[in-house]
Amino acid sequence: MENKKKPEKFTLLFQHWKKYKNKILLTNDFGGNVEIPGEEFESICSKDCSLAVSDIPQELLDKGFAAEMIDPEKHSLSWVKRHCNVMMAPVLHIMVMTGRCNMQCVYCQAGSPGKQDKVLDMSLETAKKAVDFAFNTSSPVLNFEFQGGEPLLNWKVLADTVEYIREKEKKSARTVSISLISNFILMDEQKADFLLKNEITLCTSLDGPEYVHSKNRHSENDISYGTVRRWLKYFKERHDNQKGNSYRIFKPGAIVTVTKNSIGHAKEIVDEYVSAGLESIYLRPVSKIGYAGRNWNTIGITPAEYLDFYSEALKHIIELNKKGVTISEQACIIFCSKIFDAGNGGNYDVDSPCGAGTGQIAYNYDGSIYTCDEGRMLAMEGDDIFRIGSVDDPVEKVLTADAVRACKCASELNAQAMCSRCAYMPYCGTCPVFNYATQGSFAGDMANNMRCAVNRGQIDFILELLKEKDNEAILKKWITGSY
Amino acid sequence: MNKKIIVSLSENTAEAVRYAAYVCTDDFWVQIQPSGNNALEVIFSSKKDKNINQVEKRFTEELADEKIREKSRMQNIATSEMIIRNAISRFNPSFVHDEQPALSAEQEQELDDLIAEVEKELQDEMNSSRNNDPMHITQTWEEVNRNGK
Ligand code: SF4
Repeated sequence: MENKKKPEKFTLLFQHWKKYKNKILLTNDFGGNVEIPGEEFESICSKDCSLAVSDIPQELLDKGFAAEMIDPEKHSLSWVKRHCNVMMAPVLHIMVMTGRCNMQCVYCQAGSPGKQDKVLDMSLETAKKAVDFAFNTSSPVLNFEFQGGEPLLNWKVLADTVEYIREKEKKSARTVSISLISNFILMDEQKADFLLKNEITLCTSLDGPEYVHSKNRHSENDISYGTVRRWLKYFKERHDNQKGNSYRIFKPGAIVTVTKNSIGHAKEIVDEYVSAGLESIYLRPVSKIGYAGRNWNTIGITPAEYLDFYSEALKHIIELNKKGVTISEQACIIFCSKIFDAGNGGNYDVDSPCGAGTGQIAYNYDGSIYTCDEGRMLAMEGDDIFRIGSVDDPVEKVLTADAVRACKCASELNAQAMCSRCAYMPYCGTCPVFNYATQGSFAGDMANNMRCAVNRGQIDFILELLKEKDNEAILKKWITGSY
Repeated sequence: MNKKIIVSLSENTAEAVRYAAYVCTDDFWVQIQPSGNNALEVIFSSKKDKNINQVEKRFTEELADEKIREKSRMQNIATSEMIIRNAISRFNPSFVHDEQPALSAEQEQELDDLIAEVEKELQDEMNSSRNNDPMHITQTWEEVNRNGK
């Protein structure tokens, strides 16, 4: 047997770190993070970043900071887990059934074109071509997400497309899931029944109690809040009483967009989710894109305002968990999945490179294909820069289009001046559409980027929370889903 | 108001100067230009109402960190690249679905026959080896007990 000589010294992999309160937070590309005293860091650096075997703290060895202890198999698998979207065909296929909408939310990114103009509807022929396109890609898992505008405004095409997908699924070896993002205003029992029987996951927007929700989400006669609560209750009851069904009913979900109207109401917004029986909340700050950008003076928030809001909400959620309430927060799950080396949290926006054109693509109502939904929304504002082809084009051509490649280069954090040095790089991601819309380039300028400031603050806060064992246990439970 | 800092290129790389200066661009505008022989002049001017006197300390600290990063990077680049190369080699680079053509009815029958034949051979072999196994040592505990032996 080969007698491998034990090294006398270990070389330390110090690429990403952050100094604070005389401590150093070290992170590495495999999710490992360690906090060491400032003096220890300086002493290691003064010794050419290498230490005698007897002097090296065990934690640094265990967490992959010693070059000589790197296990190429284990560490490359860890890399694959967190960057699995890099060279895959898209899993998420977003289908914009119509550009029309029956609401006018203050933070809409897609320009709110109203509900009249039927030329903004996807035809069944285009929808089928989009489905065929998805099945022609090599991804073994396909997730179709129906969106809008408001997709229920084009119900007949939506329903026929669902049936078409389920038919194709039967003849293929793919794992297929379907979800629908809707404001529920046009929902009725017949539609609900059809959707549930086809095992469609339903998701809506609930921005908090009525006095917050209705300020953000404008609908005719202000019916949005009541409608959303009523249908969430309906779908939750159907989920809870599904025993004996021949089909699976999934829990309904909802997301929150945080605007100036939400500030000061963090706890109430979380409590609203708990009272609606929802077990997960996804907090996201409003983006300065599209109609939201034009409304910025009335709805815009600063990163500092958002981070105050977020930390208050997350603290409250953890307190609720300690009292036995089942509720998790999605942004926290995304970051923690990476911190605990459990993959990318199933999210393509906070990834390096981002999932534009690889993790996901978006089919607009007219058959144009975009790198992602955000890129498609920008097109609704008149800028087609993220268009990568159409449903009539060959798959290979679309998925290797210039905009896909540009997004990959721009969102690869190792190639970003600030990110490649940032302690949070292993957990973070940047969005070329956001960068382009707010800073004029795909790569953006992280030193002055709102999303960067928000990510930095969120990860800071989460790492601080993780110092308490109780909190760590709760956040780990969220990731494994073992409530 | 501006702040000019001269940085020697015999002690620092231009890369390190650029990165360290970039980090300060959240609060300051930065211009970098050659300064005489083997040096760079980094000129900061304040954005918003940031105190320009704070920039020198910050930039100097960033530059010191940058030097550590450069050294660490040189030591570890081969290891990092090896891991990433190893990881990328696991991906299937094809984007287009390549569905295997379904078997014809004739081929399916042929396959079923072949499987049946192999199964029969295996069964025969097991039976004959059991006959040569009076102590039942080739049988599992469950098999022995199920047969009441
Ligand atoms: S986006 Fe910001 S927080 Fe994220 S890695 Fe880059 S510099 Fe760090």
